[in-house]
Amino acid sequence: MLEYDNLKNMNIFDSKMKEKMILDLHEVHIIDFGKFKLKSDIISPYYIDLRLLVTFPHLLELVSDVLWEKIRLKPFDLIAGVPYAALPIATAISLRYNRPLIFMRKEKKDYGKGKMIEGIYHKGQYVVVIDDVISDGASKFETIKPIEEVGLEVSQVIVVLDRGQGGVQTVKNKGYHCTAITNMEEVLEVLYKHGRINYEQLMECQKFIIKTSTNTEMKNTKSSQKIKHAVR
Amino acid sequence: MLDIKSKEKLVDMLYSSGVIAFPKSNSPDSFPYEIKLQYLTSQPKILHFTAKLLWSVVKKETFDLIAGPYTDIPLATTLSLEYNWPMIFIRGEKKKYGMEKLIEGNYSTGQKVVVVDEEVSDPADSLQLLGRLEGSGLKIVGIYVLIDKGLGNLEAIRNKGYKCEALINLNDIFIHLFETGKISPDQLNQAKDYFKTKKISSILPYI
Repeated sequence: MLEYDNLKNMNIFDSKMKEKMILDLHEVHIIDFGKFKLKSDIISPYYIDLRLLVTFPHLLELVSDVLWEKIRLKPFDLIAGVPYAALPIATAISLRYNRPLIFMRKEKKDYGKGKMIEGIYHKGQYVVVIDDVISDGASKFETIKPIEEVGLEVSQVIVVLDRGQGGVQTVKNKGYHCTAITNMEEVLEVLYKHGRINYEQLMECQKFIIKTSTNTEMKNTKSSQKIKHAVR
Repeated sequence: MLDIKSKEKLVDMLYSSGVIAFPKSNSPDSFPYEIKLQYLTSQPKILHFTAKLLWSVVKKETFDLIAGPYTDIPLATTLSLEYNWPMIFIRGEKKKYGMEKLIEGNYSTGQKVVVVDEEVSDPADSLQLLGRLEGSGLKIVGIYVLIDKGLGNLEAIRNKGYKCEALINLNDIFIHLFETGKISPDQLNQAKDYFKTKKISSILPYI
C-alpha cells in the first residue's frame, strides 16, 4: 500500500533526491535482484541490505540527507539508531547536522556502570528513532521501550524502507508517529521507469510482494473493521 | 604518533566535554577519575575533532578499508564519512538467518584493513574480531585506539604480532591536566595511588 499522504506532501526536490537515492542504491547492489533466501525460508526475487551502506560513505550521506528532510519537520533533542543496522545512518545524521546521538547496547555490560542507553541525555528530552527497514514493526518496540524507561520521549520513528508488512501501521496504532521514506512498490516503479529492471522482473517482484503481504494486510483490515464496530 | 600539541588539544577537548571527569567522592573505593568515551556520541563536534586527530595518524598507513566493531562509539563511521573512505563492520555475534555474515559491508579478499576502536577493553575480544577479519581473507595493517588505559591490553595485542597504537595514554592526560591547573596535586597523587593498587603502568611523579 502506497502512502499517498507522504507523496502529496513531498516537494519535487525531495522526490528527485529520493529517486537518486534509489538508483544509486541499485547501482552498488544494495538493492539487488536474483534469488535470496529470507529468514522465513521463502525465496525472494529481490534483497535490500542497507547494512552495506558503510562501504559507500557518499551514499550513507545521501540517505542521511533524505532522512533529514523528514526528521527536521518535527522538533526533537536527540537521535537514536536501532542497533545495529541503523547506527551508521544515525551517526551520519548526527555528524552532518550536528545533533546529539544516543546509542543502545543490545545487552547490558556486566562490568562497570552498565547502562542500556549510552550518551548524554536528560529526562523529558525528545528522541527521534531511526532504522533502515520496517517489517512487522515488532523490533521497533524493543528500541522504544528502553528509551522510555529512562524517562525520554519518542517523538517519531523514521525508517528508510517499508517492507509492506504493516509495520508502519502497527507502530502508529501504539500512538507513535511513524514514517517510511519509501517502500518496495516505489523502488520498483523508479527502477522500472529508468530501465534498470525489465517488465518480467517488475511483475515477478510485484507478485512476490502481493503474495507475502496479503496475510498481514487482511489481518490489518479485519482488525480495523473490528475497531470501527467498537466505535459504533 | 600524535605530536604533543595535538595530544594536549585532545586532552583539553575531552576534559571540557566531560569525557574525562573527576567525580567528587570521599569513599575509598571510588575511582579518582572517569573516562566516559561514550559521551563523545552526544557531542558531534568533539567526535569530529577526535576523528580528525585519529585520521592524522591512520592516514600514514596504506590500506583499503576502515574496520570498526559494531557495538562501540561510532568512530569508524565518522572517519569513513569525513574522509570518504570505505568501511566495514565487524559483528560481535553471528546472524541466525538470511545471508550469514560476520562482517558487514563490501570487501574482497586480500584487501588491507585498519581497525579503529575507542580502546582495547578486553584483548581476547579484540583478538577475536581480528581473527574474524583474517578469517575473511583480509589483511590487518594495524589497530588504532583513542586511549591506552595502561592495563597492558595494547601490549597483549602487540605480543600477537599486530601493530597497536593509542592516540593518548593516562600520562598524557594527567600531566597535561596538572600542568594547566585542571587537577590539584592531591588529585594527581590520588590517581597515582590508584594506578599502584590497580597495577596500571605510569610514569607520573609524586608531587
